[in-house]
Amino acid sequence: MAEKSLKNIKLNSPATVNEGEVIVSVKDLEVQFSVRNRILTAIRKVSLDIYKGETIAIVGESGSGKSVFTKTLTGMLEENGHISGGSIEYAGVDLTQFHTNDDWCHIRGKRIATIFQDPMTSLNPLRRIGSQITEVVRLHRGLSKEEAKKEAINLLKRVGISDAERRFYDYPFQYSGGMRQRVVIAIALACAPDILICDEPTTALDVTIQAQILDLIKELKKEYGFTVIFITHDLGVVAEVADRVAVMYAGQIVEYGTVEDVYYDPAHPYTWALLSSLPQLGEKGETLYSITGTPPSLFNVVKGDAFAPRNPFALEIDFVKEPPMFKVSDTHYAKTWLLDPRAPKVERPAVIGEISARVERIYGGVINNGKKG
Amino acid sequence: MEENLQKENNFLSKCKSIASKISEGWHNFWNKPKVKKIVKPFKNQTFVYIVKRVLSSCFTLILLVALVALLIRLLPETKFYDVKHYRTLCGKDELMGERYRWSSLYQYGFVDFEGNERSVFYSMFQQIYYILPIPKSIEYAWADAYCKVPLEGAAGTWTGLIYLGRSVQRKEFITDMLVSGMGISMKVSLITVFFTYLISVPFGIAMAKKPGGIVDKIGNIFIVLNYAIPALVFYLIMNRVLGDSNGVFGELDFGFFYDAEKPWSLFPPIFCVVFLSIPGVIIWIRRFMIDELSSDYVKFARSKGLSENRIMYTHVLRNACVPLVRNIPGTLLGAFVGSYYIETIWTIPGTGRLLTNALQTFDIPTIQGLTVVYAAISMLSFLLGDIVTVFFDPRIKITSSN
Repeated sequence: MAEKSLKNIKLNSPATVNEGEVIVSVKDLEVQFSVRNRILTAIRKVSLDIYKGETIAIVGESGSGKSVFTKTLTGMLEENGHISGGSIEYAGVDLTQFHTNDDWCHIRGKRIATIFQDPMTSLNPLRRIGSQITEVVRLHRGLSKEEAKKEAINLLKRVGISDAERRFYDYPFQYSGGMRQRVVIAIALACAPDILICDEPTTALDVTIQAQILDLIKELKKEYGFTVIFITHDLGVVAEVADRVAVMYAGQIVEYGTVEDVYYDPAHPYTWALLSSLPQLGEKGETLYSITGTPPSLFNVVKGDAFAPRNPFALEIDFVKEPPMFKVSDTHYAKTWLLDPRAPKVERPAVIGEISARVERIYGGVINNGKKG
Repeated sequence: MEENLQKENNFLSKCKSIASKISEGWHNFWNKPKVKKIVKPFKNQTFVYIVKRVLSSCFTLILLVALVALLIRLLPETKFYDVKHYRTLCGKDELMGERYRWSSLYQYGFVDFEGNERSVFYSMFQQIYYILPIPKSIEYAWADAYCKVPLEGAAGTWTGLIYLGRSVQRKEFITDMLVSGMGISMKVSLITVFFTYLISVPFGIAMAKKPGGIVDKIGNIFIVLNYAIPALVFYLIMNRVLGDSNGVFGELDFGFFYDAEKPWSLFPPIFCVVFLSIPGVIIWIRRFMIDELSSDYVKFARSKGLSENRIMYTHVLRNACVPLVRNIPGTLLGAFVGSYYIETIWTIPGTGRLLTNALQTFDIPTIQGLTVVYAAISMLSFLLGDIVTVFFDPRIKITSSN
């Protein structure tokens, strides 16, 4: 059977989804990589709904599958990886049916844009900043050369680059790291996308620039009304920008809920451990908690709860059977047997109880649905 | 006493005022708008850099010429004439023998007309003088090995700017030898370079598009096999196969040798060189393309929604070319030098054989002259390579300070 071309597939207009409705629905997603003739399952049956207009943060340690998960939304998986199961529903289309880069052309940049971690290498070093912006505008919006240039200069101004008319003709090496990340954001915004994926956009920047870039993203989000998927391992950043948080561990989402849910009432032992080991929330003189052991190898089939071997609160069943998602509240879900009615009562670590007070003190009440002021 | 001091002071202050006037005038002169306009381009960093590079290249060239002249003078004198012949001549007639020695050494510039020995420094400075581009006329005489024509006066006078010397064996000026062979050598080489790039660049790109894919595999097999072929053997076989009028390609009438009246007789040599130089270019194109394709900006370009072909041609290709363009002036100027094998096997009257032949026949003036020319070519290609790179890569700035 000849492979049918997906280039002209019809996507629903972004206007059909209202604010607060599900925009992307991921169901039982499974991603596998073949590494040296062995199969590595990087994402193990992940389901998640993302709502229009929200900022959802995906947190977890390195190798937990945060980046891989978002890469499936734009088909940016590495050559040796593929989606082996599940579906990603977006704009009335299942994205898992797209395979070649050319299939994705309509979605990438136009509907779902991505900002990568390292602004220093994200831009082509040999092409002028301006041409790298107009390229996208002309491709997706079909503007003429002059219009595209005007639009690009507007975008540059919008992301806070002064003297944009002159800097339009500069090369990336003439920009600082923070400015380049602004340009990358301008390119991502160029087609007014539905969804903006920020893959650790501030990790490579210094702290003051980090704050500026986060503010910029928040500001632009308010203005353009796009949905943001924010990957980070900095829980401080999460507190600052996100509405909802999904915690990932060993290729699964172990807990998700609003920022208040996850920070003030965490239910999964992994989230407890993660929050206890936050240096920002540490007290002077206290030993900072660190999670013992290492994550399981995803080359093997994980039996039971993946976190069980490192979990001081692990129950016997954790080593035998994988826990289902338990509902804590309407917005809050966690994947741990501790929430089963039959489970023994477990006392959370003391730190967790104090977290709300500590956060209040350190961030000055930042966690207020992610919206400052 | 007082008066003297007063005088001295007066004199000093006068000097000072004159000096300040001069410096003021000097300053004013350079600040005049007209002068500024003329001076401005010379203050341009790139311009200054190029001038500096050219000057240093010229200096290197002069040093090289002097060094070669010195090395040649370090050879024993007996290398330059037939000692046995000299002895037999001396046995018959002393003057005859001496004349034979003088006439031989004269051709190499070691003695003057009168047979007076010239010093090493004289030789060195003479060679430098020859290559300096100033109008000069040089008297020369062809010597006869058997000294039948005694050396009485010059056989002619050479006038021009740069004197490269004259060949002892071929009794020709090196400039003339180069000019007569240059045309055909350049023609062959430039056509070769053109077709090599025309074939290998798209092929390299096709291979880089899918590393490990079918095109890449076929390409790699071709490259390995191609590298395994010894060039000379391949040339000789192809000369026979393509040239044989009774063979498979007999109808095409290429012939074994180059024939000026049959331009198509250049096909076999060009085909052979193109065939053997393709893998070298393919390997580099493929390698640089793959390097670029795995870089972050390509990933970002993909996430922008650009199609693969667009990324290939508008982003990757140009960046991959940067390390390659540096060699292009060298390749083009190298065309001037020609190829020894090709020109020998197909008897093309080009410049490729000049240096090798001169070395075999101990034709010292030719070696000296060609050394200068080839050294100048290689230095020029480095300079042009740097300049071209600057045009391709905005990150590279050439400045005179470093």
